[in-house]
Amino acid sequence: MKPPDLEKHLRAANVPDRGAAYWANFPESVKRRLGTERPPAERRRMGWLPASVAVGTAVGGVVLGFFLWHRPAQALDAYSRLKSGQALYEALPRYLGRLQAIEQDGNGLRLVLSKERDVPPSLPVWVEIYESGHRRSLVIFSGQSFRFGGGDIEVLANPEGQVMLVGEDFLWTNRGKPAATDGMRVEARLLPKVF
Amino acid sequence: MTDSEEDVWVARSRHGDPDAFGALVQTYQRMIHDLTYRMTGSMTASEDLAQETFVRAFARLHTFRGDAKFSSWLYRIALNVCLDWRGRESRRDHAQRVWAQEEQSARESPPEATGERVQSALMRLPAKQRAAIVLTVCNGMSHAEAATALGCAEATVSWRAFVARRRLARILSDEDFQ
Repeated sequence: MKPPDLEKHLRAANVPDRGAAYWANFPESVKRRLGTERPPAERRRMGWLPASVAVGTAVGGVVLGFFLWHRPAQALDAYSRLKSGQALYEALPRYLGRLQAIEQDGNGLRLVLSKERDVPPSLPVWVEIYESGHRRSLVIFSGQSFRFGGGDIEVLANPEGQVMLVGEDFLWTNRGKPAATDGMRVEARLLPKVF
Repeated sequence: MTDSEEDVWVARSRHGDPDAFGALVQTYQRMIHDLTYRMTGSMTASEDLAQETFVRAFARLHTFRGDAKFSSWLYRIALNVCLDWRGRESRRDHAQRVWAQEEQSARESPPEATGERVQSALMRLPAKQRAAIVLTVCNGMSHAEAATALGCAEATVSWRAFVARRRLARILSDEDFQ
């Protein structure tokens, strides 16, 4: 590839959009976190440790376990392995009690792990959300939450196959009429039990 | 927001006014999200790191002297947040990487969309080379501006961007990128 082509592709490669609601809420979410911070001027006078130390520690607990993993030349690609539950069944024995979710992003499959072995056994759920041309795909256990649009969405499922996604301004269920999906398309279903 | 308005918001933020800082966040949120996404390739991680960038910026506002643009100063914080995150993740997930390496013998199918393929190629660059190419090509900064944001010499940026371009061209050509 020649340099002008490369630059053209790099400039044309759009970052996935997050939707108007996310941008409207983001400044508030930052301000909520500032509520726990002292004003910069006051902090300087008091000679406190930089707030970034505390912030780094807090955020460090949020995203646990980020890695790329590629399968040998089997028939299934990462997306298919995730959707079929194969990825879950492969990862779970190694991270029993810690595995909260597996998500696909631009790098491949990403494990979301708890620092402690405190994730209770529950039903695994396949979730896919389409919004503004962006697809979000993950496998997550019932009772766990994932971040979306600046907020947390909790996934709830029962053995009868009912799945609910519940957020502050968001509710989706695979039974009956969805209450509020804000223009998104959602798919979710139970995966076969692993416990 | 004009430069003079920005100065006012910065001054008010320094005195702990969250609404003033909220106005700065609103102005620069997309710019910072774009950068954190390009650096991580993950929507979730990029949102966390964008938030961390602004919180860290608020905590360090007293170090902003106004001799560079506020946006450049913010870029620098965001880049450091991203580079710290890379290091943190690397250490935390050493065990997982060992496992990943054990299993890695073939790459997954390339993503479908152009943006995803380019992002995937960017993620195969070392973080500092990726930062150089994101700032100079994707964000259109001059090498001097990128050097300010990265806290290194202009020649270093030029070299990293040169090497990164060469690698990207090879990666994308290998994938028969059209």
